[in-house]
Amino acid sequence: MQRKVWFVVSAVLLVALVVAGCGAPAPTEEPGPAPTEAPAATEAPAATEEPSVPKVVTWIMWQQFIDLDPALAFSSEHPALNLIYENLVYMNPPGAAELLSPGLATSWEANEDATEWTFHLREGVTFQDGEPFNADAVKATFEHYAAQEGAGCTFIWGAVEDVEVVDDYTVKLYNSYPAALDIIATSSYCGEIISPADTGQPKEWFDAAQGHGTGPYMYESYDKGQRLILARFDDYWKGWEDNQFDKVVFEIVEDTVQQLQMIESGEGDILRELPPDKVEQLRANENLKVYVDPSYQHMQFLINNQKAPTSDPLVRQALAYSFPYDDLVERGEGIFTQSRAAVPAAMWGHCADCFQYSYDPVKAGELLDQAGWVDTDGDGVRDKDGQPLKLLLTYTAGATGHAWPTELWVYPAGEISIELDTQGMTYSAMWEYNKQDPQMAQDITIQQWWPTYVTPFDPLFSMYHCEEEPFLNTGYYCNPDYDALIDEADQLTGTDRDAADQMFQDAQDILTEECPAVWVMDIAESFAFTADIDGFVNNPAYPGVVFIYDLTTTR
Amino acid sequence: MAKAEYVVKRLLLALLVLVGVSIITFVIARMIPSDPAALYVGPRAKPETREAARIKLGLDRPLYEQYLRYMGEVLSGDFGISVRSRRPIIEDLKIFLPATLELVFVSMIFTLLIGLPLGVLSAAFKDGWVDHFSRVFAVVNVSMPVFWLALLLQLLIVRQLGLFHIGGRVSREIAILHPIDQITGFYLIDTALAGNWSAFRDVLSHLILPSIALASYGIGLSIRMTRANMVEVLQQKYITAAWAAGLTRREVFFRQALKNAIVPTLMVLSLNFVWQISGAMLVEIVFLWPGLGTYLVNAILTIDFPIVVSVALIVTVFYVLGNLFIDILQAAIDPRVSLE
Repeated sequence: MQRKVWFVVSAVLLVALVVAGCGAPAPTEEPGPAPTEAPAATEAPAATEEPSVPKVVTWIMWQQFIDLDPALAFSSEHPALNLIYENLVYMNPPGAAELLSPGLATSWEANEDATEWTFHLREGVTFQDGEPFNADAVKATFEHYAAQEGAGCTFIWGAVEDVEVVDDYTVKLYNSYPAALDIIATSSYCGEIISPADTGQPKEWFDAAQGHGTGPYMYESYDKGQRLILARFDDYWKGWEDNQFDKVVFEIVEDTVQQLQMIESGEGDILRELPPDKVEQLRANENLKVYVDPSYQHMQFLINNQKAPTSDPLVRQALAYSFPYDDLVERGEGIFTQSRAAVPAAMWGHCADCFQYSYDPVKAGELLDQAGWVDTDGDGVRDKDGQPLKLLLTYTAGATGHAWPTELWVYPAGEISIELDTQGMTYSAMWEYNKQDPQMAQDITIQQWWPTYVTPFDPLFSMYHCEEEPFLNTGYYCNPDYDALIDEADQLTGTDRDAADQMFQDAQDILTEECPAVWVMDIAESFAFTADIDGFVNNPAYPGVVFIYDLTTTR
Repeated sequence: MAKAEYVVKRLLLALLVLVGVSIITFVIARMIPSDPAALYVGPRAKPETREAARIKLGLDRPLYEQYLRYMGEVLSGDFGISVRSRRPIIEDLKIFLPATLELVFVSMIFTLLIGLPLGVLSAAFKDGWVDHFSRVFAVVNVSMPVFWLALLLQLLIVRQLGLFHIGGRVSREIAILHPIDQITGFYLIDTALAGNWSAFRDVLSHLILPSIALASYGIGLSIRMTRANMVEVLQQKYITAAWAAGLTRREVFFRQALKNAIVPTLMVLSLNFVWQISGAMLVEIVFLWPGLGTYLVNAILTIDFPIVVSVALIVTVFYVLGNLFIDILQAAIDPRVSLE
């Protein structure tokens, strides 16, 4: 009896191995009866018809989806959410004639002090659940955002205190203070308009891949932790052409090596954030197209402005002169370019005339001498009043973009007799460490930044505006004159953008002089696509988003 | 009756273990510097929103109160809320735990089907070529790091031979053309119940390589233990009597000897089974397996302590129940073992 059992089990296992191993399904396999009902937009063809194979594009996602409620999604969800939902207004890529383009709003205007905004809405648009898009839907979306009380990304609408439905296709927003709602409405985060049937649903409901927008793609299925599939929305208001994609598959692959294997083997079609040392390898692959475009992401080392020795501007400037910018740019293979001041080069408000620090160890040494830091005991580390010039630098361990600049800095800092003690930790742990009393905190910390929506106020406020308790300004810089300047510039953004632009640049002049940070690099957006996909235009206002509707394929 | 008393006694002891583990993990998790309320509401929330979250999460209460509240929720089947995703942890566990258990179950099948027979054959043909092969095979399996084996399998089997899959639980083609209707979360069962055989085959082919990688240590262990115990048992007088009675080799080895030799192996394998539930994380990461290990690693990296505590509790429950089960099984197999 026992023998039979062993035999049967072994035979079953063997057969299973053979069947499973040799029977990987072909992509063109004829669809069988699906246990779950497919959405109307993508129904399988009738048995008598020739089965049509959907055009599928596979996005290799670098991270899991945390939140699928547009009000709370503030991480890596936007490559998907920006396909499902649409904004009232869109920000154009750099170099476009106009800053903004119409989205679900066809036009808009503000009163003189930018406290009242009127948006005229597009007619003939429906949500994926059949609900009409109109002013009531916009109001419902704002109520959904307001209900989150600033959580997630909803803080961007903090100025809005009332929404009035003027008529079916006109909506008026009232601010409690001047704010550029046209720019805010372009935001990749919390800019999405949600079906009124879905607003008010709890987070758990959205997280189950439910929710409807007016966008070209809608949820089809979600295998949490592994894959999200979107199918095209047949009634999309812009219509469809034959050479567009029918389905979008987001394959969640968090490991960089696996991501590269997938894109190179053709298992995936789109990969973002290419490792700089792999760009040439990917470019050499004739089956791939590589894009390296400007972005609004940048990296800086925030210096502790409250604690000695870095509370001395001379020491901070010496640090800025000690960083090997050229070495980093060379290793970056076109993805890294040296930053100039505190706003990325591609963004409006960037200060092209601001002073740019360069690697100058002689100058750095002179500044340190001037500040009283000299190597009196000949141990290779400068000292002052018996204290050695040892600085603690915290950075995110495991993140290549953070480790490279950190590692590159240690040697040149040592050349001018500064001892950099680098401490890698998880981002969460680092942030907690950074948020403590500045007198107890690190001397230098790394900060990678990209704006929530495209305004210089975002990085200038978040990293350099005075804070009562350390939160995002983890260099602890505080200058009331600087604060007043950027606060005023922000209020002018809605009414006099040129004046605001100049004021933001003036504010960066102050920063450059006081040097609260070492502005290391602007980080380009990088993508690899399979070669048969055309139509990609990078828009840095939507980091990590590929508007799949705009792509075409020869498949 | 004695068996029932024994089980009750063990369950009470298990309760003590669980309370101990929960206190230790809870306190350690709370001692790690972190601001769960800030994580919960996002980086730009208003201070008052952050404070409201602190109250909602009970972080304004003394530590013992937080613990009691947490345990009260656990007892009612609520493992709390992830501070990163703000999702009920139980909802995540319903997805990730079956994925890991399915992987572990299949790996245990490999362990038993490969490890036990090879261990028996190794002892039966002691010092012969089968024995030498089995011993080398066992050492290789025990000593090879699981992540390394996983990478080797991907390189040799997937890349070179084009068999099986590099990662994931199911192919995207299947997800599109033959979507799986999730009932139990165990895809093999769900696809079989639905008669979705294309998906079944695909799920099985995704399971093979990660299961083999995960099973390797257990295979090596079971070969070595089974062999050692078998060699000892085969020298017993009752085995000599069995030979004298004219029993066949198969009856002597698998019926008479293995029954007594298998008990220690099963003990170790049961512990190995439970270890795999949390220890599968390396295999899960290499094979992009959306299971408990991946879930735990992400939680640790983001200091999402409610998840860390919950997973620790679940693994402890498996350890305790696994041990209890194997003790009862041992008594059932070996009459010399008493539960009293």
